[in-house]
Amino acid sequence: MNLTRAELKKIMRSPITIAAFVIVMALNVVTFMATGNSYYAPAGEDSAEHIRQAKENGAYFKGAITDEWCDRYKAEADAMRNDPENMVDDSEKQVIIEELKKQGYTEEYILENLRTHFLKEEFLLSEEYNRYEPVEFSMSFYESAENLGKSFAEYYLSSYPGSKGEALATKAEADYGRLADNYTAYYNYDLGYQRMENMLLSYYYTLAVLMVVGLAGIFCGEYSRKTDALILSAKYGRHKIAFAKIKAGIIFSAAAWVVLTAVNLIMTTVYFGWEGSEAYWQDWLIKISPFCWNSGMALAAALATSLLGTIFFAALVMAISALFRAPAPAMLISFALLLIPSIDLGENAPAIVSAVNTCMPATIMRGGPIWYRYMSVYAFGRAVTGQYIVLSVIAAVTVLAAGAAVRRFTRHQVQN
Amino acid sequence: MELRISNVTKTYKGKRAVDSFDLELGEGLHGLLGANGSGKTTLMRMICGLLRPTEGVITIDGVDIAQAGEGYREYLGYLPQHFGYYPNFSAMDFMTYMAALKGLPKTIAMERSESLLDELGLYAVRKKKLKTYSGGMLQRVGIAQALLGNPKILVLDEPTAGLDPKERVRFRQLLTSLEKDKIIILSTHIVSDVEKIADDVIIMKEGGIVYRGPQTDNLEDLYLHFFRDGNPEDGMRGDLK
Repeated sequence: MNLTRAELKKIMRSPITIAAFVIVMALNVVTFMATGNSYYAPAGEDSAEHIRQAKENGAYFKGAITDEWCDRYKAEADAMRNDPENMVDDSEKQVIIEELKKQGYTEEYILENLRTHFLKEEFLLSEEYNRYEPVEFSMSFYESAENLGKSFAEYYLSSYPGSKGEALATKAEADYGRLADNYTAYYNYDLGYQRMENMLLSYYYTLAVLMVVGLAGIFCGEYSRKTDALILSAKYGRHKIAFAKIKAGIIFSAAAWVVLTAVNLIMTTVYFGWEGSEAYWQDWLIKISPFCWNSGMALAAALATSLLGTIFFAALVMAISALFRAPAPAMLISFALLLIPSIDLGENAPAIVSAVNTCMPATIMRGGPIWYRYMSVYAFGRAVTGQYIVLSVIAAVTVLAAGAAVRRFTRHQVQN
Repeated sequence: MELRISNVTKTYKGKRAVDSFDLELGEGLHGLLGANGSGKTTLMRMICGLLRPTEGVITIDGVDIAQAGEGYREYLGYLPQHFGYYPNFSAMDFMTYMAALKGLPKTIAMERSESLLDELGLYAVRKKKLKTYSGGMLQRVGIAQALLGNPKILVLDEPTAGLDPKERVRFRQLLTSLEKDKIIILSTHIVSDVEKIADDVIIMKEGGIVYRGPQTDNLEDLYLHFFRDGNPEDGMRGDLK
């Protein structure tokens, strides 16, 4: 019997692990079908119609965001806004003007800049008009990138005097400048990618619970079960079995991640589809980082990061398992570790605390969020993209944690 | 082959569980007698590399067992006094898992596991989960796994615990049928376990040796001699508790 396979068998034959897996899968399906917000819960009312409409709009407006593209659809939107058919009658218009004058606006200003107030309510709420909202928002993509670059540059210059501030500012302008000047953004329906990225934000938690249940006892279970004496006195009962446990733990966690991800990918395929991989990814509210990614690339990055985070958490849980003599305290500590990023430390939290929070398993397992914000770190005289440093640290800590678990187990002494 | 325990001491929280212990063991069956708390299990664990001595060294043919590592454990078969198991494993699963730990190739592992389980009267239930086994059946599984790999050094700590008289007799027959080129250490508080089969007897008390000599017909009297001032129950035939 292969040792790694034997260890996998021990993990997966546990009734608690089996029960946890079934519950996790069921919860995942329910979450996918029932979650609200702008991604249209498949189980929601008119959801299929909303998605169909979104696809239709995407197909109509899809294309590279160029000046021609912007001019074409701005002209269409303006034509609708200026169409008298879509406006209230003159008497109602006058009432609106008077109300706006009371707020301090001149009539000239109102007629020039606030014409949307004259539009009929049913027109304002119509799909025909509202479908232009995300399109017109997209028209400012490059301008938003440039402005954000300048804002970050100003912030760094004012916050960090000397070469540090200059290096960070230069990098910020360069990073966002690439997006503003050298990148062509595309507009298209990409709800499938957004939905999948959104699901990663929720199913990581149930996956982590399954991992803790399955792995918390991988080392300390041998102590509490009193199988340690038999194992540690056997020929391969030290380093070889310890490495086999590490391999089994990683395989178990990665396999659980793959199954959960595959189920979500299938559900996304069925309900949302995969059109629009080329669509731009930033929303300039939460996703403000300057990576020249489209939705397809962003999802791939999120998935890869989530998988790395899963393996990272598995290594930590196993290291914790090797520290204790029974699974219960190992489970408690592992769950506590999972909860850390949920604690709101506020805006005044020290930078080091924020940095540690960024490197917590829950942050990495969620995949996308680490890539959302602008992270620039000044190290060794230059400004470096922070995300790459975080992922390097994660990879190193994963290896160290696994090594610590092996060392702890192989040096264990069997006592009463 | 010679296992040498040189001036070994093990101290727990100021108490000496094993005290300046010196012993050489060659091939043969050595009975280690002693009451509960005399240090037998601590000594067995140190011989199996599961505890590091506070002082002293244990060597096999002159090589420190801590340095020998896998090279020493390859020859070791150990049955602990209290051992655990995996409830959802069958006996066969458990045996093949232990065989993998001992480095046995798959085909040999299967053959040897089945053969040992058969010898110990567990062949018919080999595919049933261990959680359905009685205490005596589990003890026999423990004996079986200790014999996997045909070990040259066999350390058995209270091996007959949980066995009925008939099973104890079978166990003694099994031990005597083993090849003579082994070092077998049978640690027990039951005199009858080592009567008539041990090549020599070592009596432990309070972490040290109080007697070592060949097998003798009046072993029980000999034992009582050393525990005369102890617990009155120590005088009960066959049981040194």
